[in-house]
Amino acid sequence: MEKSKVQITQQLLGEKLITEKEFIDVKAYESLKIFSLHNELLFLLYLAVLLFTTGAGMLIYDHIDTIGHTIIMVLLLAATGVCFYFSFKNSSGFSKSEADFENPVFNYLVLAATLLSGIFIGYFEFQYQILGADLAAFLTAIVGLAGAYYFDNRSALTIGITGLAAAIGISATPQALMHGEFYDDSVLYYYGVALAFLLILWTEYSEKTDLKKHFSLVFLTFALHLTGVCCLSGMSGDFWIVYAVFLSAAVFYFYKKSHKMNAVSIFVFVLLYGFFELNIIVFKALQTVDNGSFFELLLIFSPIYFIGAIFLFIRSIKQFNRKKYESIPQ
Amino acid sequence: MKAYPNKLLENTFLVEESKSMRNGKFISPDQYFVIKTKYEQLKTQPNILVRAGFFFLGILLYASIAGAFALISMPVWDHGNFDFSILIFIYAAIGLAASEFFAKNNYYNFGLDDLFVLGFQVMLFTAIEVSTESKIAVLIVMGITGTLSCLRYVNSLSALVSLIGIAGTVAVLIVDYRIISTAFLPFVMLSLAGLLYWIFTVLKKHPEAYFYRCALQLLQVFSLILGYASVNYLVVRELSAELLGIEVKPGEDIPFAFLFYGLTFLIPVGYIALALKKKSREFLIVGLLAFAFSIFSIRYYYHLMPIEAALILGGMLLFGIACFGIARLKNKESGVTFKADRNTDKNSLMYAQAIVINSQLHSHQPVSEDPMHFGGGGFSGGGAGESF
Repeated sequence: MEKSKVQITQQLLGEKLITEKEFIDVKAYESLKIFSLHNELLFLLYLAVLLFTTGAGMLIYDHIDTIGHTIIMVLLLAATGVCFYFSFKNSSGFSKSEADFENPVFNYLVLAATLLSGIFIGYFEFQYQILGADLAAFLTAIVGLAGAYYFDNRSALTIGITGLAAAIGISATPQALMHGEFYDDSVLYYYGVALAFLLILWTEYSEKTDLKKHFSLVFLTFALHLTGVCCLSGMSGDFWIVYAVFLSAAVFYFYKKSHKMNAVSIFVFVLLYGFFELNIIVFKALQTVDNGSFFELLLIFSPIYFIGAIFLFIRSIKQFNRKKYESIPQ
Repeated sequence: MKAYPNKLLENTFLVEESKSMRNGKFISPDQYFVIKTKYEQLKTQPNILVRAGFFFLGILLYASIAGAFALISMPVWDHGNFDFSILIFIYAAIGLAASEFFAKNNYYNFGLDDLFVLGFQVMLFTAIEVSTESKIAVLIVMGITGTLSCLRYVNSLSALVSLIGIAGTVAVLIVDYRIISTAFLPFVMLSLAGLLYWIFTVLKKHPEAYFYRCALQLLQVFSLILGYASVNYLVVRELSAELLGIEVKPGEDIPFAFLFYGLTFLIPVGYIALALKKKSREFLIVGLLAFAFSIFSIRYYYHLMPIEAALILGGMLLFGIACFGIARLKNKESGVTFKADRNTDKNSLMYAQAIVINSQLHSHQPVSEDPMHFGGGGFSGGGAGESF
């Protein structure tokens, strides 16, 4: 069906764009007929951890009265302990740079341990109500972050950050965003922006001190979406100007940052958030004019507005890509 | 037939291929850059996020054009007894014109062109639905328009439209028009899946197939899924209750039940076995998903154990299987192996997993007062996280 890779490299060789050695390299690699199950098997592990922890969570909350809760807590603690024990045993210890287990299975064990300790803390809080919900979430976050930094685990990191958000009362899960389950309490918007600001500060500090630099993208992704969603929701209220200022500052910062990091996933969303913000501001300005026939005229010319916007988007993406190729290390 | 010059399409694919060679570190970024500048290509957006962004902007543009047109033409249709399907047909024509415009300007897989190619089809189907109110007319038009747009704009998603149209037509012919007894529906659909797969094997040998590889992949995956779904026990039982009014009383079962039970498990296992033999990722992924759905199907009717026990045991079993697989394949250098393919990106999977995992945390937040609330709330999020 496809022109094979070998044929294409042959063509490139013919045009003298690659060397003989590179051609032989590709040919040799293709002749191995690699069928890698790497991603599939890792995904199965991931799914296994999700199934197991979901099951454990349900078991506990469904049988809260039927089995003695001390037994459950001991079992849960034991499971968490076993996961952590093997993770520690096989870990190469803390390192400031990127580190990985020799066997990727342990990454998922760390994940299981983090999730199980989250369940344990949640159950403990539910049963005894000593800590208070916020503190319990904060404790989960600490476990997640500690696990993330010690074992170099991105999944644990997101659990940590989500825990932090939960501690201040924001549910920062993808579903919550998609379902628009965001609280109407405008204080939370300020909290959200403040948390995002702290995350950014921490990222900048980590980059200065070379501390787990590869976590930046995760931190910044959270910070960007937290500010974006908080500010855009805030802009529907009375103090929309305040949020507009926050969001403009964030857009400026993340725009620069995405160029610096070559992070397309941040760049695209920065453009979109900026575009939304601009549209809301324009709409608010038009509302003050409030004239029916004027609106009709605008509607007729709106395609031109969107075509213009698309042109600008195409231009900025071209610029972004050009910079990306220039900055690739030689 | 194609809206793009062959040469440019070929170059685009060539550059794409050399990009994957760069990712695999077979060639240096410098060399890739030289190749990229040397060959003139179509304007594309390989990054899926950027493409989705342009798709979204395309929706805004299409909607604003439609709105503006409706406003301008208001005096015409404000007169009363105006047939609104004409307006939708005009929208479809606008979409088609825009698709042609983008194709002529060499936009390919850019996001904008995708939107207009799909958009004009949706408008056309809506218009036909409104004017004829006939299901089969819409489905037949879907089959034809989807195929033509796929061929002309090298648009893979149009192939999906066409396949839905074809499968839908056959199903409606049997269910609504009763050309044969509805009891044969599963077997007819299974044969249709086989026919589609046969078409796939024929088409992939065609010299032009190189340009349509994504569409062909879609055809392959669609035929595999259709083949499985048409004889899946859950699907068959629910559909026979719906269409034939067969009510299953305790101690009874649907006709040919043993056959469907068997196929529900044999087909996924067969797919996975074939995947490893043919080294086909399409077979593997469809096989794994189908197997998971088979377990769900059986559990739907027979509660062998409570859900939490099933989850815990399933998780442990799956963990064991995956560990076993990793241990077996870890040191293999060729063929089926655990070694990451040099040509694919490993990082994106890790990021996707990292983002999805926090949908799981949702269920462990100790803030709810209602104990029943702590369930597998985040479970569906886990399913959506596969990024092969």
